[in-house]
Amino acid sequence: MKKTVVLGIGNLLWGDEGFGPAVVARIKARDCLPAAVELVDGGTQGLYLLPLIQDCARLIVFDAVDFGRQPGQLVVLRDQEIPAYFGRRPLSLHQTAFTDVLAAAALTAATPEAITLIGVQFVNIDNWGGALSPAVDAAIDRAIAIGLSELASWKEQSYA
Amino acid sequence: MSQITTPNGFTLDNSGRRIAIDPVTRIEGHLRIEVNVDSANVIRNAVSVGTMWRGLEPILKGRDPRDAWSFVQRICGVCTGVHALASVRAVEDALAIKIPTNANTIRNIMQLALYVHDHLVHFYHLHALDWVDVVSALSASPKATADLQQSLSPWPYASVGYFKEVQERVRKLVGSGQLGPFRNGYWGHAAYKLPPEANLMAVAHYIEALNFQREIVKIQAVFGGKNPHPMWLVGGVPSAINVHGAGSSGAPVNVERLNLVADIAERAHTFIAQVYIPDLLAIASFYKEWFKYGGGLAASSLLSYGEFPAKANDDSNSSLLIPRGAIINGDLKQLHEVDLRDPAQVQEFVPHSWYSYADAKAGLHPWEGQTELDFKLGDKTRKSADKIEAFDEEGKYSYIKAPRWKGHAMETGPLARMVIAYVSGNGRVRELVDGTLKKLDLPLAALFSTLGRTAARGLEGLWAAERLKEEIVRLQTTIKSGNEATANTEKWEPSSWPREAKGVGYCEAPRGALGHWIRIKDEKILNYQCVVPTTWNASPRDAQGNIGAYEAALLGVPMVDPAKPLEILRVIHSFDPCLACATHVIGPDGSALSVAKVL
Repeated sequence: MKKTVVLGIGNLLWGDEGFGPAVVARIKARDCLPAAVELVDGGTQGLYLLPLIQDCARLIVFDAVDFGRQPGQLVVLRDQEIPAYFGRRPLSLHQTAFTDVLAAAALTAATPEAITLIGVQFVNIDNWGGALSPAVDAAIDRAIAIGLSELASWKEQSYA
Repeated sequence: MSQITTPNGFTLDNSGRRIAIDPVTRIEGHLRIEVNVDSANVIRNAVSVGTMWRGLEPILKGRDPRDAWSFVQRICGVCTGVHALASVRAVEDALAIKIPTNANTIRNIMQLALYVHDHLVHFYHLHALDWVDVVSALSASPKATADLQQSLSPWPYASVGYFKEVQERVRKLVGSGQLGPFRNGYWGHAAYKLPPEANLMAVAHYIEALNFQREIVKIQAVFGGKNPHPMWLVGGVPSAINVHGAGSSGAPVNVERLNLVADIAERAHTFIAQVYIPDLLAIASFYKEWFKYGGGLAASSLLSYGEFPAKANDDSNSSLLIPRGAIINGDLKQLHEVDLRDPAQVQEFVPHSWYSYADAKAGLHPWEGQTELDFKLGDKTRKSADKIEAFDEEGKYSYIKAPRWKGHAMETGPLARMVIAYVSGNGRVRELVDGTLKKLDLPLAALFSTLGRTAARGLEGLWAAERLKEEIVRLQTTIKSGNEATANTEKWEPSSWPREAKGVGYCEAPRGALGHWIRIKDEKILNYQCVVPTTWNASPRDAQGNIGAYEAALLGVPMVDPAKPLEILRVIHSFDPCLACATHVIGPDGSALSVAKVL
């Protein structure tokens, strides 16, 4: 049976770029996911993530994004909204890698039936070796809460 | 400089228009190429710039040598395993540790599986789109594509309906404006020459290879526990074989796992023989002029450290399946012996690199190697407000050092290995090379070119798939005889080590010769130096002004449109560059075709 995956992507060594992996680490520490859901730190793995995407039915992605919003503000996009946004401006610092993975999944006719992207407006991404900025760090728990309610709504739709 | 001739025989002229290509992205991308073209858009000068410092050597100082593999493996997640392999071999060399037969065979299997994986992924997902026009594939007739496929090989995915469906999927992606992995191509560029049906067939194989490559990496995971970054061990491999004993059904390496590995190897061999090689030949036949361009150092200076010991702990050329040696001055009759311990053979120079040595012009053997940063720009560097527009190649211009073998700039990689195996009389390699040249009606010298390099990689992929199957049988046979040993832990305890020791570990990574030099003192790492394949190939100039392999290969290449530098990508990608390997040429905003700038 295809699985439900919670994925954080980003570079932990690059300021706010580390948001995705930081969310994964917090979820792990809190041990707050339903048992059937797989938690993955995708790092900067790019196309190596393809098998994971191909094998999942439902996917939640945490990532740092640039929407020109207030620092730390969260944005939630679902399914068709995700690629549609890519064409206009950079959505995520990993969009080259992650959109490629989504497109590759489409090319191989193996796209998840539901994808939700929970993005945080980054502050500083030129901070090599630096930690998350305070605004982005403060958004982690809010992002997790959104993710959990998304999972719960999927469950109601008998998805998970 | 306006026009000069380098000691290694290349004429450089930087008077024409300058073009800079910088594949800087947010994730990867540490290679920048600058060229000067003449009035006919032919490249007359080339400058290869490594824009990021690796920096692992200083991190290793003072650490436990048994842990070094785990750090150095993080140099790269694509050619995963090769740094770990070089590292454990370096420590074993320093401490005179002998590994069991099964450990040697398993290392060969993992390394061969990596060749198969890397060459396949490189060809389809990095390099093929330099030759294959995705947009043209949309106008192909599925019927003509099916006919073409059926004429080339017995590969089963060859029906009209199949190609129609693939075309629809690609049309949907392109039509949505979301090109995904196809975003960065110069579609419609005049330098694309394949007919639409060949383009559609190749795009279908691109997708098939995407699906298939995930199978090959399972071999790394069976023996190394996971991939990328499998587990390694000084003294052997950490693969617990249990075929005969109690509990074998749940063991990491049991009969079921070995059968899985054998099955994957068989399918990999079929894919390469029926898909990769026919595609390579088809592409080559439409781009024969690329057997003239992009040779660079290949015709004169080739280097291989050797790989795949048939016998454990024996790295003489009688044991190595790919021999060690150097070819210089284009003399294919003489294979020079390569000794990685000799202080006068492998040396690194830094006059044009962002490092400093006490003696600025010296060449240092890696055991004496230094990694002191020294970022300085030449006087003629062209800058705008906060950006470098063009580097000054007369000054320092790269984070890559200039390695030299007995003073020679060398090319390393599949072409070097196949040529060195060929001149050493390797029967299977001769058969593969001669057969391919005959099919394409080309002389041996055609190998020293962009497509020669690409063809050598494909042939090596086939060779590796064949050897992979043999090594798996060998492992099964040894295990059947009751020998399940995979590690020698006699010298695991540091108390058994000498107070001081030094060693060199090497391997042939898919993209070329890789060496790690280690010095151990009082149970800790005193000094550690890596000279990686791309250091050889992407090398900047040295003290004498000799240019490196990328720089040499770009000279004389004609471009259709310098603002769309497809030809430069063809040449550089033919080396399988480790820098920016995952990025193609992507703008920092992710949407630009590339960051080619005509200055």
